[in-house]
Amino acid sequence: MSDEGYINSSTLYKDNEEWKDITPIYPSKEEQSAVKIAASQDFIDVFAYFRAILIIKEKSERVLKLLEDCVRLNPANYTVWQYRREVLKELNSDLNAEMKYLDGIIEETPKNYQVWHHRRVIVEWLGENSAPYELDFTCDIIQDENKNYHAWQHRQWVIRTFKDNLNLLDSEMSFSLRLLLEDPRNNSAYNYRYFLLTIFDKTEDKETIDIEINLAKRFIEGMPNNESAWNYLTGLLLSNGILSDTGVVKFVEDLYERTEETKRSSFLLAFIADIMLEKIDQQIEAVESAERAKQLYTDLISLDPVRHNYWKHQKLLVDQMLNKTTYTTKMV
Amino acid sequence: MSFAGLLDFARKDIDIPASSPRNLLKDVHSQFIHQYQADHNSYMYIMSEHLRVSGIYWCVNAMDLSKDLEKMPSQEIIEYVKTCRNSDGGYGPAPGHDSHILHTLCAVQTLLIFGETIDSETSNEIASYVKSLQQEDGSFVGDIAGEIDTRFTMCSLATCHLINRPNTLNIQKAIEFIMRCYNTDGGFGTRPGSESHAGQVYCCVGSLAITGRLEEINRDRTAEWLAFRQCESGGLNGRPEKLPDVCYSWWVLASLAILGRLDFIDEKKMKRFIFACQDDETGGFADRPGDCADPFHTVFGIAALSLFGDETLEPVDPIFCMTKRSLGKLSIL
Repeated sequence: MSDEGYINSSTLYKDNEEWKDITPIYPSKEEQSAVKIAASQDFIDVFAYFRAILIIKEKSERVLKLLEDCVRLNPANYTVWQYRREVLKELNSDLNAEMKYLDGIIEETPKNYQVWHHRRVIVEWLGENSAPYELDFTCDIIQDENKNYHAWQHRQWVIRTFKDNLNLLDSEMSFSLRLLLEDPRNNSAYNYRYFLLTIFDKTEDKETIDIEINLAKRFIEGMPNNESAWNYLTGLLLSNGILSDTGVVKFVEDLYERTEETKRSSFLLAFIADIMLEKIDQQIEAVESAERAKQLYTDLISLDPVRHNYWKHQKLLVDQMLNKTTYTTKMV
Repeated sequence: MSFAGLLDFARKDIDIPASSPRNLLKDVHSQFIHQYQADHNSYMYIMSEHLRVSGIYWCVNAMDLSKDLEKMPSQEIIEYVKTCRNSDGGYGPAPGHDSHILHTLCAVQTLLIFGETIDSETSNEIASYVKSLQQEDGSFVGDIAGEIDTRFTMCSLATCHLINRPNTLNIQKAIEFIMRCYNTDGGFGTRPGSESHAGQVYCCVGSLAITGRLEEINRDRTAEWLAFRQCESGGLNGRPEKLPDVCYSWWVLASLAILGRLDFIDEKKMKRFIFACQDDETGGFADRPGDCADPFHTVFGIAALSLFGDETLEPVDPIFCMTKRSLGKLSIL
């Protein structure tokens, strides 16, 4: 955990007096002979001692240092992390010092599954007092890389685990809003907002949902080509349908009207087409809605040619839905 | 144009260099893979011990897809994989490493690719290892460290399918957990509440397909999210506003193939991107044009091209990412 480990590691374990009681285990002749490659010499030496320690199950301060060398050389080795937890537990080590150590490792390798998992276990051992620090720490990592999946997931875990003891909804909503103001295309931040609504039982709360819908509208207005904002809006309306919110319908129709034809975003056209599909489904002006939906999909084929087959598929879907509803109407 | 307007068109993507390859350079890839796995003294080989069995599967599968499997030293590889088996019934990445479901699946896949029979007793032991990973809520941990991830659900279901022990696991619970990870955008994440990610979509859609439960989701909605992963360059990204990467060519395309919607992707543009990720000198595929090639991106680049029916390649199974040839009756699509 100190800098000493790094200084010592420049010397090989096989030449270190303090380790002469341990017989290193080299897995194969080939690897032993590969010691000649300078870059891997250190690696082979350290892991030969790690293998030996795993067998005799030594749990000591010097082993913690050895494990730090293993991590330095390969932070993705999950057996190393697993054994480290066993040693920390046995020695009743200072977990706050471990957290400081992990801060550094994560800053160096922020996309490493094993180190994030290790951190989570240490936080579990430390309990809820460590939650505020975790929020600060993940905030720092997210500042550096605003879609870091591991950091967002760790933050979600902290919230889920300690939500009953801390009043976090408002501050977390502000946190994600701040990130969205910095980058309105940050899909991770939208996802986090929806996660918060779920975890704090707000998905059925009309007042909250209305605020979120307005937020999505604001972001779409400023950036109509923003996939994440449109997906967020669609997600909020998924259970009740878009038609349930006349404000949203009016908003997209207005946006359509006041945008020049060549500048309309494909997401806007697709969203209005979704409204038309809902109308056909509910038999509201079904024939007219079908006509309009098909026109929108035709426009989308030229506007977004990469997905031409998808838009063609949607166009066929319109006819299928229309046939189905007219058939049902006749039956009635 | 306003500043926001400028940003609005600044979508993340790459430009394909005009000089990049425009067709499949099959022979250099076989050389690349062959050399990669043969040189046990290389720096890369030694440093990659912690993921070796997975690495072996990537290499062996790439060669099988390229119809060059006979160039691999089958006996040596089979024996090595068998030495990675632990007393708990699972496989680690290398001898002496803890078992992990990722390597257990890759070990089983590698043995099957070589036509090796896994005997009944071994299958029972593997099945009981996989069973031990399932949690009460239906999710799966990957190893004794206890991390939960929908990747591990897919690997567990696939392993049990491939060793013909499909009823070992609590399928109902497994699917319930998968459905808790189904997001409002039509995608799936690693755990309930986690952001949709193309790799996780593949794992979840694959899990539903293996268990015959695809009707649980709105196929078109998931397929739409997947179709939106295609960028102007033709490449596919894993999440909105991320750069395209060849490995997503596999995860997105395979998911769409499982859903019966492969045509939602612009095939011509897609192939142009995948071809451009080849290194015409060293062989192999990189994540994107101009980067360094590796076996991981190579196998997924080749597998993606196979999905489009490239005749110089063996047909690939979209669920298990193995040749239809090696799967035989185990193929379910």
